Amino acid sequence: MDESADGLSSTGGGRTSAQSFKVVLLGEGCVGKTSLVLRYTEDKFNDKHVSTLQASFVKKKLNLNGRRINLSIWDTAGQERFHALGPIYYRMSNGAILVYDITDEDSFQKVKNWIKELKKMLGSEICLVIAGNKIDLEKDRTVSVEDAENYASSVGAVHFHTSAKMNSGIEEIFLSLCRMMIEKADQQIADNLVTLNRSGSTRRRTIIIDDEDDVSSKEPSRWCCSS
Amino acid sequence: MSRTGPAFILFHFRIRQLNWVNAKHLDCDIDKTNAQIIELVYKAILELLDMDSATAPQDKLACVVRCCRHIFGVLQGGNNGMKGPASADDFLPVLIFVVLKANPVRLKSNLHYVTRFCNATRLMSGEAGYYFTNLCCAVSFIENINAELLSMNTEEFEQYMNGTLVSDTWDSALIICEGMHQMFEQLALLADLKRRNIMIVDDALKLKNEMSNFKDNFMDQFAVLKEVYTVIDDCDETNKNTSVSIDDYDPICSSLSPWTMTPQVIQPAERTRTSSSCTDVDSWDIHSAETVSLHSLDACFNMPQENNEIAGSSSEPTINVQPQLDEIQEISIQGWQIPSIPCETGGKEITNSKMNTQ
Repeated sequence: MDESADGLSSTGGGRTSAQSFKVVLLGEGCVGKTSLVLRYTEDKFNDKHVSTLQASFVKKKLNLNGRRINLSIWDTAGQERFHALGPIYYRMSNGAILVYDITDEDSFQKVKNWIKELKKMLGSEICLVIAGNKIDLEKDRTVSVEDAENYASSVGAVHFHTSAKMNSGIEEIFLSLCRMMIEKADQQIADNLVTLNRSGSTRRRTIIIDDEDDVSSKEPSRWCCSS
Repeated sequence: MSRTGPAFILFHFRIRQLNWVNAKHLDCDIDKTNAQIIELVYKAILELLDMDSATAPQDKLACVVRCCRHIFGVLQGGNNGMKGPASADDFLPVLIFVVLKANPVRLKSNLHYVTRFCNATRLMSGEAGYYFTNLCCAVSFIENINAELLSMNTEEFEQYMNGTLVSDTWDSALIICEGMHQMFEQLALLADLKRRNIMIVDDALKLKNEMSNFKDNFMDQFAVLKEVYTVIDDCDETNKNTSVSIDDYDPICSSLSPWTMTPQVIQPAERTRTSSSCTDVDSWDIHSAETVSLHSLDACFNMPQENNEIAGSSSEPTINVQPQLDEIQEISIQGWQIPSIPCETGGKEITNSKMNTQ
């Protein structure tokens, strides 16, 4: 699965054309993932009259330092029973936003689990940001700011405090993630160039397709459609 | 396919075994009392079942997208749209429910097919890709379903799996849906075949009409041509038999005095005599048929006497036709031709008569 992450960034590699990034939203159910997205894309909160039918898959176009970026934001089912499906969601994604509820210690624990998993599956290919949501409920806070920020820096993630209700920190978290992903994509392109020059161009272009025998032999893999 | 076939069949059986799982087990928010919502659930199921009959990977993907759109309709609460936009938390359980109730044939096979043959980038970034990923998740969830995942105790789960406990009518109705769908699919197939058959019959009729039209046209044109040629033939015939007609067409002849006409009355008798004498010659047919135009030249220089006779007779039409076509002032051309005609055929008489008319 190590080869998976560079697929998207390299397709939008040209400076002039738009770059596409896939961002997954991970977090326990009811921490406000969907609200976060709705606030970012529609600037609405808990509104019954939102034009979109759904907030689980959203596209957003933005311009950052003169570079066009297409974000596709994938919401994931956060219930505990669907935890095992995570890898199917986040493979080939360029960034992940891990959301927890500052009033819910468990949700922060879940974020730690997600990050552990992501690091295991995708290594450092993926850009991580952690969002402590619902800061409008500051008085009920159970996750301390220090803990959260220390943890974030220990895993190389950026920590933000957000509130979808008050619309604070939302724009910043997406912008920051975009910058990180652009940086990573550029670095990958540079790395690819170096390896291309070193190992000859034909080698890098070889595509190896694993047959499914490998997959079925791997017991813990629950992927239904790995290639 | 054959290698992985049994796995796909196992999946199909697994879903059949799980037919008792209902919306409540999965915590999905489906309003069973709303006819509109039930209709949407059925539509989603049908779209998912249609996936197998689609051939191209993008068509299969389109089925998944349509299925998921219906599910979002369900989550919105029908057309009323009372609820806000649906999140993945709500969406996935309903999708799992739909997959369980649809139990599409070769679903896993189809998923593998799409994964391998669709553009990987599109599959991983677009909206269709998102829905497809969710479907993969649903399949993965179903494969690993257990008591804990359905938040029930193991005993109850086992009982359901053994068939000791049974599901309610709404779920049975959904099971029937599968059979209904197959029926509809075959009806659609038959309708399509019928449509194609009608098309073929129509085309055949069209072709038949075209053929008869062509035949009619051809016959018409043929008739016209035939008429034209018979006129020419008739002209030749009449000219051959009765050379009198030459001067009948001549406008000047009518203005001439009856005295000048008298020599011409003799001509028919003479002409018939010459033509009948010509037919006695064996080689008449060949020469007249093949080299009519050349006769006048050949005959002048190196033809034997008998051929000269033929040349004379065969060049008759030229003489006869010319006055018809040309005006009388071109008599000089006629005069130029006249010397090539042997004397005894009566050509001299013509010249004389012409000279007289002049």
